[in-house]
Amino acid sequence: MSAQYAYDGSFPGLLCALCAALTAQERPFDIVADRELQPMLLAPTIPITTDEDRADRFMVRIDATMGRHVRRNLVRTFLSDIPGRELLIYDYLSFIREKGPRADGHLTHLAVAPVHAVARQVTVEAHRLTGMARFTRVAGELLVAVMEPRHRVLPLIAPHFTRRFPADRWVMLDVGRGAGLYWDMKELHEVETGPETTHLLNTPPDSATGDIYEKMWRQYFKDIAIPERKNPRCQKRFMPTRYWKYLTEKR
Amino acid sequence: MDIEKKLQILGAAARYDVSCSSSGSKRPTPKGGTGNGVSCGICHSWADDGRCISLLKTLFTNVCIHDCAYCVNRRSNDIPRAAFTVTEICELTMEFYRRNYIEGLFLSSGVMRSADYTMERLTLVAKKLREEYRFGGYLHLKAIPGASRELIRQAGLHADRISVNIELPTEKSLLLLTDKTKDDIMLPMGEISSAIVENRDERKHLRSAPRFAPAGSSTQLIVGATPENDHQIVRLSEGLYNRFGLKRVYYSAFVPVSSDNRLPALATPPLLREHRLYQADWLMRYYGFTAGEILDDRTPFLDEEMDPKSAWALRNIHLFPIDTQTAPYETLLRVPGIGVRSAQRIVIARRHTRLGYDDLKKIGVVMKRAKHFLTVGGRTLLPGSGRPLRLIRRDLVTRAMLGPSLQLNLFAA
Repeated sequence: MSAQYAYDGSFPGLLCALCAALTAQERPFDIVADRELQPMLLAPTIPITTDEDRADRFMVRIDATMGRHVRRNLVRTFLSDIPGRELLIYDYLSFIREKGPRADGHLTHLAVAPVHAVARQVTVEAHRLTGMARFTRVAGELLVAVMEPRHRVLPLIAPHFTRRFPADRWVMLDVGRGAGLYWDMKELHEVETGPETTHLLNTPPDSATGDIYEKMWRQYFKDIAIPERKNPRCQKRFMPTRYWKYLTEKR
Repeated sequence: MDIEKKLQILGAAARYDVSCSSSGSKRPTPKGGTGNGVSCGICHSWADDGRCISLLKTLFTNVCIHDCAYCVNRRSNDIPRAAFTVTEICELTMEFYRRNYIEGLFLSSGVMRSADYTMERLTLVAKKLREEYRFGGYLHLKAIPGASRELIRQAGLHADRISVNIELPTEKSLLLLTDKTKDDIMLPMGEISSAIVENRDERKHLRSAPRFAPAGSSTQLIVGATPENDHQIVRLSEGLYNRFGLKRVYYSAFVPVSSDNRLPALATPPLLREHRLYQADWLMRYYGFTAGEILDDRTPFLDEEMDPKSAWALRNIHLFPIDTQTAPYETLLRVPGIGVRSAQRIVIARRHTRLGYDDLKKIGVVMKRAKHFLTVGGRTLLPGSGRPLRLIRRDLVTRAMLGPSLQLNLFAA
């Protein structure tokens, strides 16, 4: 009977689970994070201990034998919150291990297509949010961007903003997951949305702080559209309404 | 006048400038500064008209000594006028940028006092942003027609892109509706394009040579204000791409902004025509088509019912079908329903397997259109063989017209 692997939900944890599953002869019944674990009657559960060194070595091996693009797809699929993503990654890696690095080009194969599709969704959302993240100036000089992305894109987009605003202190919060990244002008720190960040979230959206630039941006946003060309369908296609809640110009 | 009011006037006045691109410039963040250029470009928002907002697009001033019939800012129009100060624009750009509203600034202007005077103001803004604010984001400046070579050269050293609007497709129209001549526009355009070429050369020998407009140049023209046909327009664009090395030609459907009797009275802007022109433009830039293949003297207008590639394929049905497994990339690109991305994906995936109907669909090919033009390993994708043209045409039409086209009759009278 094939086993169910349980890991701690972290990326190194997943790598260790994949490493163990790929070494075993059998396709796992499932690979799940502890928090999603449900005891199975028929499948034994194998708990995975996260070992950073082992994870690093596994990653190096993937880079060397399968190529950087495989790592990229792996990371992005992991960052998606699609249920069953671990098994998708397992099938993908085991297919490429069997057929060689070029098998990633087998775009219509069942082991490849889903991973490409999911990785692409994550990439698209990350790119969108490099444009649609909105910083609000709160107490002092701190800039805060609040968002609720579908996928865990913060680690993908934060480096863009460290390059862009190296000399500002800012924090990006993923309120759906209670996670955040804080830039102190030197490095990024993980933060959790908790008591110490609630005041950031409670900054009234319509800004009692009376930021004149927010006000001007809203007005500008209205003025820049040509009234004779109104096209809400097109607008929503590029800028889905689920993002509007945190857009200065749309809330 | 406060800055809020000014932005209201000058932002709205800039909405007829089409360009929004922030791509093509990879500029590192200056030491101790703010902002960088990302080569893929980033859209930050989409306005209510569905156009993307990437740059703070505004005029420096809407005061203008010219009186171009199609322009809201023409001298004879009775509207509120305003002008920013150099510092105001810089502050606005930095504060918007820091909140991640924009990729940078797109600064255009009405002509205040003289072309040189205005161009100098624009250049000052760019210089100040780069040197005092240490701003590394995207800057697009308009070259003012008639401005001196020297000023344009200076502007390009700070800007990522510098462009001149060609405004109308022929000199005849230009003379009819404006007080500008062809030279007012073509001279600066030539100047910019040769400066870009020289700079590229210079940098081959000396990596540290300052960059001149690294994101290149573009232009814009108004469609539907004057009687030119689509054939003239795509030929003009082709010439601009080939001779001046422009990155983009933007088309802007004429929105009536005055009741001048030299202008046609349109009920709505010719948006569909503009859309088809963009499709034709894409065919020339990404799909290897020439203007002569898209239109000719016998077919002077683009088909409104279907995209220009479909129209071309119907006229050249003898070139099809082609085989998905063996056709070169350039040929795949010519199939209706196959875009750049799906053509690339076909080329990669077919090395591994024979691509059937469902595979192609999965890859992103629009099979409704493409199925008529493809075979797989010599076999057709359709039951039976040889479809009448009438049936193929039915699958290619994306927008059936209800009555005779308005635009064709507009200038007939």
